[in-house]
Amino acid sequence: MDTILEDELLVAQFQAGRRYAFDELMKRYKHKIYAYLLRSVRNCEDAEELTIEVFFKAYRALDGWQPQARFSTWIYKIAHNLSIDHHRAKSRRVTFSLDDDELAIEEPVASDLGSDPAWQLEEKDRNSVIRAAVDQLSPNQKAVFMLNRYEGLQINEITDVLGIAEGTVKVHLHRAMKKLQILLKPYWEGNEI
Amino acid sequence: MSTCKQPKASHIEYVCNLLNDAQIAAFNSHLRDCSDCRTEVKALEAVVNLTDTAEAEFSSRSWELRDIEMEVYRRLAAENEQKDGASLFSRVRRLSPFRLPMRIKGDLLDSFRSTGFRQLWPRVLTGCAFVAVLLISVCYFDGDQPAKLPVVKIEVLPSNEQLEHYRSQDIHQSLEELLVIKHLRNDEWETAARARMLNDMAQGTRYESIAMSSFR
Repeated sequence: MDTILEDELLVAQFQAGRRYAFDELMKRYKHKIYAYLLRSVRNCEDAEELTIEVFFKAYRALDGWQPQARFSTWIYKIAHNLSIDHHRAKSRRVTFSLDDDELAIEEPVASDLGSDPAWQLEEKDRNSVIRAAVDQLSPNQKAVFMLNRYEGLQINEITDVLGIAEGTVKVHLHRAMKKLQILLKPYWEGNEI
Repeated sequence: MSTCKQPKASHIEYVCNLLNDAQIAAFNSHLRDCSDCRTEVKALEAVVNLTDTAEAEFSSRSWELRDIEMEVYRRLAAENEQKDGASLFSRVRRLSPFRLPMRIKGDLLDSFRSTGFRQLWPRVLTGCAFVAVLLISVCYFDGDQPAKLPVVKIEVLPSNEQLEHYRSQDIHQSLEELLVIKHLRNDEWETAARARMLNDMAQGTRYESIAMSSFR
């Protein structure tokens, strides 16, 4: 007999009153959710706080959860919604703090690469530029790209997470790839892979 | 100029592993014959490899993930505590049966309009006193539990019974002392004196026969 219980079975146990089943679910998903949120918000403290919030919300809502989709999709959906809220709140804060010194520190952006004569940066810096290129995607494009590339979700699962149509998911993925292709052209064109 | 009629979207789906086995096989056979599509796929794979490497480097950093489980349960417990703790407002609301019916409120307002404040001040004072009593009782009542006031039992006896009670206590004490003097000290004079005193104290009580026997 397979000792690894399905997520949905653990949820059923939780709903039947065996609350410790949630421990196992947290153990399974905390690193995945944290990694997803870390890529989304690019700040480990915010990602950690949001991860706690994800499981807090999941615990409260799990009693009424219906297995219409997989548990993993559902938990990613909570994480995605929280990250969207976080970005919105952050953008509001930035709007009100235009004079802050923190904005004076500019991250390198991929679009500067062509104009930068010394663009042969060290590996670490190059990776941060590439990540900055990913961050330049729209929220939905980035979410679709990340869920597909790093969380290994299929189109129908991404559809459930983001609550958008399958065709729209494909359009976002297509645009994300095209945008990255343009932004990172100096890298891949020079066969630096 | 490219003459390939393969849709551009299929290149991305191929690179992102979104095609099924049959579609992958068909696309692979197409790639063998189409140099334009090979170039396009190569470029997309290069982009994906770049982002994968950058993200892998980011994820591999040793992020110190604190005890998420403990924090989640701590917040849940805090939330439950907040829910359980009945607020002053909710306690007042729970005592809603004591609120005045709307009709009585209307009558009070009408009488206030017709008679003015001076005639109404005793009623206002009574109302304030009632509200004060209500607030004090709310502070003592737990909203979720039926009211349990501390009950102190005070035994109040009628005055004559109370005197009788004290008297019997004295007789008991004297009898104990008499027994000590008589059997432990063997002091006959003291024993006789205490027995006489006890006999006097016990006159007319149910201890009279006991006192008499000790006197003998």
